Amino acid sequence: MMGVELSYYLLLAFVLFALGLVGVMIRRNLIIMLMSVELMLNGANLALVAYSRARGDMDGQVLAFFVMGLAAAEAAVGLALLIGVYRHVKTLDVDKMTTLKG
Amino acid sequence: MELAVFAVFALIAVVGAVATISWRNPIRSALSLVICLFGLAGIYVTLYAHFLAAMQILVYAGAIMVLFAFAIMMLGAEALEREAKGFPWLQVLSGVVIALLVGKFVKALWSSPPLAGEQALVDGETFGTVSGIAQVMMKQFLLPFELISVLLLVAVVVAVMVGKNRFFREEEKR
Repeated sequence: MMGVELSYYLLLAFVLFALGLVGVMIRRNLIIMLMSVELMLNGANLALVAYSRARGDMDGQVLAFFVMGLAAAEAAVGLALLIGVYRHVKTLDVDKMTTLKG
Repeated sequence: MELAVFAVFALIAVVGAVATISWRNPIRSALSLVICLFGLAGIYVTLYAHFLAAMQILVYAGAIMVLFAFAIMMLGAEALEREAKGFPWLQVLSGVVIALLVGKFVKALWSSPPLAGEQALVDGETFGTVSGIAQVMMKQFLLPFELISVLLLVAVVVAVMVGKNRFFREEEKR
């Protein structure tokens, strides 16, 4: 009978964070890039909760709640900005937003 | 048994995450992200974070993803335009960054402590429940808790101001 070790949870957290990072770097659609950032925040959250379980105190879980609040604020502001940018440049492709390019 | 439950939810989370970054259609990505967040909620239950698991579904998979769905629907079909191939060097760069992260990660794995025994969890039966979380949040972390509420208020004000389209319309007049 094999139990679940802390390292399994850390591995999963790392995989989620890495997938989010890859999403931010290779995708060009702003909405999907924002969702990849959410993925990275969730990976970090999982690591916090896993360490909280390993140490046997709830500080990590409370921090994870704060990260959730932060993610909600980030999503609200990010999506509002995204819609404003879309009205302005009529595209969501970050490669086509070249107004500042010399 | 424990391992099987973990494996199932981890598989759901990873498949959802891979689908999120690979669909071309943003609405499919959003729904895949919901699947991933549900898988993570299951993982949280196996970590004795029951209240956090409930909040993960209510706040993350519910509220935040509905916000994303609203934004995608507002932009409509235009958000689905075919995206050009990104720069190939960005893909190489992401590989390099991941490799650097793996180094850090292996170091963290090496020093990862064993899980505390269930009887060793502080407060025993209130671990991860609403009352247990409240004890920590309202005593030790009261100031950050209040600051988060200020942050949310600021975010609401900013979202309304940007959404009113004033800044961007003035830009267009010039």
